[in-house]
Amino acid sequence: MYPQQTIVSNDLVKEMQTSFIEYAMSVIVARALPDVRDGLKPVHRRILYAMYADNLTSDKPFKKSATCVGDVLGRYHPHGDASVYDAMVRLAQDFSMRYMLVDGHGNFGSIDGDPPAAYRYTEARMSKLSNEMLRDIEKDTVDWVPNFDESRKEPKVLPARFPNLLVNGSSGIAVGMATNIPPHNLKEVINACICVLDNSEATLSDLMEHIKGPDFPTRGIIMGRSGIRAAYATGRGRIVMRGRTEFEEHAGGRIRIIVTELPYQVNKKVLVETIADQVKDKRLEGISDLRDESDRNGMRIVIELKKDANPQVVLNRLFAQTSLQTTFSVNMLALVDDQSQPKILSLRHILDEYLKFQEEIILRRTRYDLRKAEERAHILEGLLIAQDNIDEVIHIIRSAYDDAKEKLMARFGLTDVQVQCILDMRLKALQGLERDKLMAEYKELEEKIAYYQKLLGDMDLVRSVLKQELIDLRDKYGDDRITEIQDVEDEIDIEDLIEEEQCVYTMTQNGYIKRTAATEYSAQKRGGKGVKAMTTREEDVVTSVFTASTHDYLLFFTNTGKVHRKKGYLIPEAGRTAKGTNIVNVLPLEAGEKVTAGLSVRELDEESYLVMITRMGTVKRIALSSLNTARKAGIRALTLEEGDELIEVRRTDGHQNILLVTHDGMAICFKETDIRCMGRDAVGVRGIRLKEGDYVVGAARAVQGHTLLSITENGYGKRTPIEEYLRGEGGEPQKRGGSGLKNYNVTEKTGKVVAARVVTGEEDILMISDDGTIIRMDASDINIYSRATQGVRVMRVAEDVKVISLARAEKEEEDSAPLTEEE
Amino acid sequence: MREGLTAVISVKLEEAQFEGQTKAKLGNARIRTLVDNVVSDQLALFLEENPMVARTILDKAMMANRAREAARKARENIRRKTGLEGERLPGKLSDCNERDPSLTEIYIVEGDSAGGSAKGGRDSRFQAILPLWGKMLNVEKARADKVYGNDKLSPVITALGCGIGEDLDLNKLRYHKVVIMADADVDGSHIRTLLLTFFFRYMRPLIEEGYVYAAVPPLYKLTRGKMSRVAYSDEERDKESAELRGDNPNAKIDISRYKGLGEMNAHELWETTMDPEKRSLRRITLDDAIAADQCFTILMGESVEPRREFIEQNAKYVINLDI
Repeated sequence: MYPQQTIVSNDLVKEMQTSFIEYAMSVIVARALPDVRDGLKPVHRRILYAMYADNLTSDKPFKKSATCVGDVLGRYHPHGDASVYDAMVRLAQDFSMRYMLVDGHGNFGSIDGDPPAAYRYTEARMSKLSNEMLRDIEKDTVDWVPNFDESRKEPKVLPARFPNLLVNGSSGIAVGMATNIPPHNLKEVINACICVLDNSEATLSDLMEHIKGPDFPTRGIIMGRSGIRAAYATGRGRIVMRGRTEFEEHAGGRIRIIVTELPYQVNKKVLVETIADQVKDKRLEGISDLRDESDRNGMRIVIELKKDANPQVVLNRLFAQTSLQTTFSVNMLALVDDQSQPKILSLRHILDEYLKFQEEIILRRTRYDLRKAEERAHILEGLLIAQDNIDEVIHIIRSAYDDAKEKLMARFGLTDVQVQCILDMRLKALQGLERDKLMAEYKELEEKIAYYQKLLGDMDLVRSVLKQELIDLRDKYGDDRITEIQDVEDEIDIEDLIEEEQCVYTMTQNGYIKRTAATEYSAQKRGGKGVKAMTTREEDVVTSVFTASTHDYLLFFTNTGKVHRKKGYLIPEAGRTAKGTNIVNVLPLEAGEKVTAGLSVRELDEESYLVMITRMGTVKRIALSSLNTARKAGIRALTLEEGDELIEVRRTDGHQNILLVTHDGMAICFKETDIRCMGRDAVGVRGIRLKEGDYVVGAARAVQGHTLLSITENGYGKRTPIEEYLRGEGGEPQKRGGSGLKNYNVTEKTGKVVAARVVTGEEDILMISDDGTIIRMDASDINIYSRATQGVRVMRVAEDVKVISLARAEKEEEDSAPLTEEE
Repeated sequence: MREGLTAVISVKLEEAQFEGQTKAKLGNARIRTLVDNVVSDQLALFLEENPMVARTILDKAMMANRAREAARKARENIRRKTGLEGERLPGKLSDCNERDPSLTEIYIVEGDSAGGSAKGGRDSRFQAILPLWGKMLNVEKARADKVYGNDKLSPVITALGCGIGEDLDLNKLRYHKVVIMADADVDGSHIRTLLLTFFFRYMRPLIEEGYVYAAVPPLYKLTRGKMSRVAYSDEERDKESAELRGDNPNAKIDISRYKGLGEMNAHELWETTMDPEKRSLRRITLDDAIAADQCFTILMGESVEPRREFIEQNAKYVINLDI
């Protein structure tokens, strides 16, 4: 069928690639990205040029936007009308442009995202500053290219007599790349240009003396300078912007938050809606009412707070969870090399490109002026000759038939152009030529020509002209910065969002952990029965309970010698009876890694130490502050020898005595200062010399006046005063590294020591046996005996059942000191 | 537990009763509650203590869910089509009279403005027109369920009648020439890439069978007085221009670049692009499916970096740069 038709085959890949690259390249070089020289995308350039060509400068009356849109479409930009109008509207919005390029009359939209009126209603003309974008364009300063139907020419770039790319910024998404350049303050950018002109070696720091950072039309506050610096140095960086807020006190001492400025490109209506939604969803708490009271006097969003709300916490949450704080991701991509290539540019690079372009503009303008001046001078030379011989000239013209031109040329040696000018003059004008005036004008021209010629041969002079022109522009249009830059780096710390409160932390043998507000335990009187602190799974027991603030650090030591650091609030909160979360969900533990000890500290201060005790009798002391590294989890606190395990960690103040208790019934007590303070990776030193097969079962701070509670496999136990472990008159401890003293008279009957703790006698203790039985008793019920005794039966266990562990519990949760699990 | 997960439970009990000959299922009701309790209890414990495993299982389940959801949508779509009176065709489609798919062709046209010319210029006996407005979804980046519900793509699916994805049935295809007729400008190129992505990912047999074509509209219009010609390439433009000029070197020849199909009158469009006696078509063939797959992943896929590399490497080969 239809043999005449041509059907060529084309491989899918080839078809895709050609089509795609066509699209991608035109979007990149001719749609979405600005030219580094004038900072405009094609559609903006065409809008401005069409207005200029239509004589719609700032001193002329407004014209309907429709005229402008129509002109742009019909003459230069064969695309959708909506896209042209949208682009034009943006140029006229005071919240989008730092310096508007279009002066709009009528509804051009609002920061609430309201659409502008249709283009048949609104009127527009160029803004004053916009004139500067096009100044000198008629002096052959830029290249011209044919428009789409080759019926007229359009400028490839505008002269842009001020650095528009930086001043107004740009944003656009092309294919495979995108640009996002923030707006800046005109005065600052021009000062930076001058800085480069004065000193071509100017560094980024020099430039940043002038350009402090972006200056957004919506004002607001920029948080921190490092993102700005990164953006200027490399072309990429992240700048955190915040709205301006204040606390206002009103009736009854209640506080409300007032928002008066927003971050750039944040839609106010959307912001208010997001806040409202989050309040409804309970994701934002403490807010009782929300109103937008903005009117002709300016922006005012009112956020009423509940009576008990902490204003700073609410505000911080607003910053973290809504666009009241947003990040501007700077990506300074623009077209260079006469729009042939997109490139990521540093601040200096942009300024250099701009200044190079402006030098060229001045050169081309001077060449044009020179040509015009020479032409005029040439004519004046002719007129001067004619004026000298006015009678003869008039005579020749009158007597000539149609060869006056030739005759004049022959008689006075005039050129065609000169004669033509003479002939074009009316007789009256010709007779009225005044020699003085002509001479004066000629003189002036000669001077100009000399100046132009000098300028063309002297680049330093060109630069000084450029500098002066920029200064004039700065003084005429410059204004003060409106966006504040604050030094605080202030990445919102999550902590700022969480109200500080005391919590009870519970951890079980099997690694279940939870956090419960201390207030949940508060209701009982002394001597009460206590409340259940945790529901545990069968065969699981609570091994440690302690209170700490949500803002405290919890240090989790594991059997492999690592320490994990977590803020209290990071432990999942759960109700009183909940069983909690397994620790593997909270800490990044490796297989086989088990938490063996936990501590809470307010901060990693310089005065505190940690003493670590391993199963094989090694002890090690480190400064608490040495754990303060950037890595919050899983840093090494101790290097363990093969087969050894970390069993206890104690916080000390540098003046404590440390007591170690072994399986075979030995114990040693020595000063912590005997242990040299070491680095995190160190192995430690010997704390006690162990006999073959013996190992450490417990360790504690030996506080005088307290007792050491030891428990054996077969359920025997006793308490022994700490003083018995000290020797001599003043109660001197032993040196570390010895075999120690006999702590327990281990016999067949008692079995070996499995656990030991220092107790005050005012707490409860829990004993757990390997058949899962737990017994809870008052510590003071256990008799006090001296060191080398057998103790009494404290827990009755069946044959081949052994006691395996000992835990302490507060008698009452209420008055729990920082660490109940400690001595 | 629908797919991809296996569990082994060992139960020891007396008087085990199995359902059916294959003994695929244990029949004792009593043990069921027991096993249920123990398993859910222990499994909850296990998942709590092994978050990595829990996450993997969750991801798997969510992926399976998404796939099921997509399949359900697809089925519904097909059911709806066969609902009322056989097939309900999209409102915008101007169908042809001929019913034999081997004789018919459908033009998928960019924009309503071009759609009008195409409707006016076509031969309604065998040429159907389906105008699409605006840029459709990039299916490479979209999830399957988004594709099924997309309002730009569903007219294409219904008009072609053959279903998509696994349900595709070439016997139901209503036209054996599916011609993409996009403007000869860069946005036309883009729309072509988007449509081809859709065909490749969801209707690949169409391409394999060679049913997909690209129309070749002229690029230039040359006028000298009342004479006018069209040219399909730059070389042709120069040749035609020389011919038009003939022996008069000063003759003024107007050369205009076609910006869109909407610029052409209906009869011009017929003569230059649609008339099977004269037109030329590019048939899209699939020479190397693996290469094509990679190509789509690079050009249309989620990851930006390879795309930028491609652009940088190929930037110099651009033929048709438009302002």
